[in-house]
Amino acid sequence: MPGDIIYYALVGAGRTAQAPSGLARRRYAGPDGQVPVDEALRRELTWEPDSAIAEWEFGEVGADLVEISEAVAARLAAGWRVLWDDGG
Amino acid sequence: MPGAQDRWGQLAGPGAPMHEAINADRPYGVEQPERGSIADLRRRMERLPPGHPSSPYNDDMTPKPPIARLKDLELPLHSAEQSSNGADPRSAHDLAEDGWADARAASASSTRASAAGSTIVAAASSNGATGRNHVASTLGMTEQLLTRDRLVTADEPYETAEEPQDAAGEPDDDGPDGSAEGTDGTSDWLSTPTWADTDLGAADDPGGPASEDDEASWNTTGWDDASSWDDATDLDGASSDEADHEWSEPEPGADTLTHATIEADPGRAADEPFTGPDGSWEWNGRYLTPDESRVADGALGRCRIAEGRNVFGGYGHSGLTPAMRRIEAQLEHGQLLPDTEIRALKSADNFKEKLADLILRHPDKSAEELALEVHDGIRYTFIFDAEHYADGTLQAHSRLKGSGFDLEVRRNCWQSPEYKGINSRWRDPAHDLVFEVQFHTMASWDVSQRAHSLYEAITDPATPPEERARLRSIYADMSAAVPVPRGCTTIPDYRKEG
Repeated sequence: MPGDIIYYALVGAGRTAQAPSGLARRRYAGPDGQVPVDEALRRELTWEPDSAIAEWEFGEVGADLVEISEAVAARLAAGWRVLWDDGG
Repeated sequence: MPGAQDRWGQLAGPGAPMHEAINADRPYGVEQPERGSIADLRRRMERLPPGHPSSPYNDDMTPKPPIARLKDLELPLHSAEQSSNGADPRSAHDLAEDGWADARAASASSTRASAAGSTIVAAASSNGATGRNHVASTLGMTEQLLTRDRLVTADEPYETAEEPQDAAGEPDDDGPDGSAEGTDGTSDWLSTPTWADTDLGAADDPGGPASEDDEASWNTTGWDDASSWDDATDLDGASSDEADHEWSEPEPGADTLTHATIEADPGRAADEPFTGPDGSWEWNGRYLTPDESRVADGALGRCRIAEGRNVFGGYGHSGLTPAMRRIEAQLEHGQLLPDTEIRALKSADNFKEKLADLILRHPDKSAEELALEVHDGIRYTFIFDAEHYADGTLQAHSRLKGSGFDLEVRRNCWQSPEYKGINSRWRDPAHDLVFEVQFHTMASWDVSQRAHSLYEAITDPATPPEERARLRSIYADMSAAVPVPRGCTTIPDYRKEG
């Protein structure tokens, strides 16, 4: 687990994992690489601390979290960069 | 040529006797109040279109709820200070002069009340004047305070009117569990020895096999199917990235035009919700622009209508809370939380806090869309004893379905090491909004309440990761003592497709 990053598509109402409304990720840090660090992608395309994953693990019934690959996450982020740079 | 008052009357039509009653005591046009007087302001506001922020009436022509003075609710008044009818002894002029300051004080009081696990009347907590319209809101507050007596004497299209709740009895309703430090009633209720005396041997092993009977009851209902959930989760494999990531403390939120990290105003406490002069809102590091704050107000207004409490503080037949009470009455076992009417509606500040998180988290959605996805703006909790938990949950689902509500999501968390219980999201087609229903045993509910401060810290993005890990460990230790009710693990997760 240390060194891994797990990416999640945040699938809100009317969305799919292929076209989510947000991205979250869990990476592991700390001296022994055992401490989970949860983040979500902001509109500025930076990863910032966020509790979406923890809330989901505590039974949140809002948006679904679907695990995706890093490649898929990167592709989604790249698409948003183009979309939002165009003022979308 | 018809004036504004006439158009308003046409809008109201025969279905608005309340307004006629309100206006009946005012011989319109016979006597003009002095310009700028309270009476003049009152007249002008009543001529505004229904639904206007300063109008004393909602879009549907119902009077807006009276605004309680929070300081009167939370502080024990000396008998000598309290008039017999509870009215504020100050003059209307004083009220108008102080309205803005009171709105700020009410906002601050809301936070203090929440932090202390005390209560805020929902109508009051959600009516803090926005800064952008603070003059109008101030007048609105004054107006509604002045007209309260008249509103109460109007024809009442409902059966019951509850007494205002004790200010110390309303929860801060944020959390996965409708959590709050226990209200008086709840504490008494929870302090019964029911769950503490539960025979642990009667509970299933969380991972143990379920009885065929229990499983059959869920698999034969036919109206939901766990397979759809399973299909949805298999989109992609796990990341296999092996990159070594250095340890670092969480960075503050990005400094952007709309969601900058909030610097505390040295003139006020950092933990107080604050509505700025421009209508923006901030609390606990969360921020809403004026437009986003208005969106939240609108969405919460829809929740308020759907929840069912009327302007007099009581309930009739319509609305979600009366529907839940009817469902409760049909259950063979189990019940809603005793203070459901207090807990059902999320406070305005908690609603805005949640929306602010969603806006940051879902950058590819608009605030308007996300406001409709705050699924726990209204929340109910059913409690069952462990012996009847699975059957009772099934029966409650059936009753909810039979009442016309659509199940959208169900998550069975009984095998989670931390949160224990079943959470579900339902859609009310009549109001076209979603609400949450939780299913607990006394034990799981009790732990969720006692551990609520842990949950808040765990889900606070500002909590350092190692501290979050430590808190989650504590939460898990507390939950480990909760007996898992027989058969509950057979209840499948569900998520409606589309």
